[in-house]
Amino acid sequence: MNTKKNPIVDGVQINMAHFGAMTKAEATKRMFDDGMCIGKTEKEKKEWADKAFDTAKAEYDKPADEVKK
Amino acid sequence: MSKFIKTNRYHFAPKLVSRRLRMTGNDFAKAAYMADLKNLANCASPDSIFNVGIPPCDLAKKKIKGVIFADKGVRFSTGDTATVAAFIAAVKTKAAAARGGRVYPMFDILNFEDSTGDPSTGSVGNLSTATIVTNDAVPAFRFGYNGTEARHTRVSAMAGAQLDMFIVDDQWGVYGTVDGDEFAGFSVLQAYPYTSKFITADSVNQYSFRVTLADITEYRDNSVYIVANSGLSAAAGLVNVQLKELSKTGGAVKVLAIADGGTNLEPIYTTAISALTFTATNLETGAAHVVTSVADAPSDDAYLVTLDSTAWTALSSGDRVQINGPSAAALSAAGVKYFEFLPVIVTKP
Repeated sequence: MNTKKNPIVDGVQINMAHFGAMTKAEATKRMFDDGMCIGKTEKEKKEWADKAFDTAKAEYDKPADEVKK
Repeated sequence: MSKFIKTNRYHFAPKLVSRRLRMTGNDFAKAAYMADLKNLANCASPDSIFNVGIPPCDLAKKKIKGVIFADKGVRFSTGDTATVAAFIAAVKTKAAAARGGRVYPMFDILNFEDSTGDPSTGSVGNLSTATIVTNDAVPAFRFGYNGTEARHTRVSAMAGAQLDMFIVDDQWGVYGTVDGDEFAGFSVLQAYPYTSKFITADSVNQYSFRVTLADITEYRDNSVYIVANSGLSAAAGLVNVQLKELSKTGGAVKVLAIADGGTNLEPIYTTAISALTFTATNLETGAAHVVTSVADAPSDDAYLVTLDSTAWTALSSGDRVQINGPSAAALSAAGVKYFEFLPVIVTKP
């Protein structure tokens, strides 16, 4: 069982136990399809997904002791 | 016995002695058996605890301050009761535990009536009769508390709950019984909520309930107690928060978190709640439905809970998904006290 805490990017809690198992292309597409992206236009939303995935993954993949700091 | 003991024993005493001298082996066996029966001192239980001394450290019950209901079977371990601090911490933890392991503290009792009746008595004897107790009275109590309408609606659900109960007096003595080495509540036979009343001059029972215990032995013979302190008052009961569907676009659902009484929690707790874990369940299959994100939606005083769109698309029209909020323990740990979220069911159009 994954006990890591979900990262929060721009106020959005992203389920990285779910998206982290996907490729970036697949994850960002699913994020867009789910309707969780921030932005007014489709372009903005996809850009946000691209950035949010990178940020969330970096946070999620940090070693546990580093996250505590 | 009639062979040896006559009604006028004095008159027949010489004859009795003479017959005893003629007893056979079988008669001696009978006589020995009778001697055992008459030796009543040996019939007392060697485990009797009866004594009348005054313990050097004891307490007498004071006025009732509160009750702590507990889900049936909840116990405080020897570790929980090792110190007052450990006990208080355990009560606080269990107050936000998952159902089945939760305690429900109420420290605002306004009125207490002991409804325990006198034990039943009956006459025994033939020529001379005596009145003795034939049945124990069942301990029963009525508690008036500092209720309100919405609260009493929730408290009234006690009628269908399986509960034990601890009683707390105003010296913070917590009274219960013992199960093995563990501290347990008194078993509740019936918890009955009275209907609320419009206020009268005597308003202490405006909101009240009655509790009848299941076992007098627990209450009288195996009653134990822990003297805590006022720190126990920090253990508080939970308030229900109903999640309600505000709107949805595909599987992206905006939900309101409305506490009993109508308070919306979003403007108060904002991102403290959206940072916590929400889950979802497909009610048609029982399988989990992945929640892919949660975000605060302050413009709607709501939370945006996003369900996995692939699984959502695969649902048939009319299929239902239940969205569950964070657990009471998670909320409490995040400083969102003292609440329990109730789920919302969304239906695919």
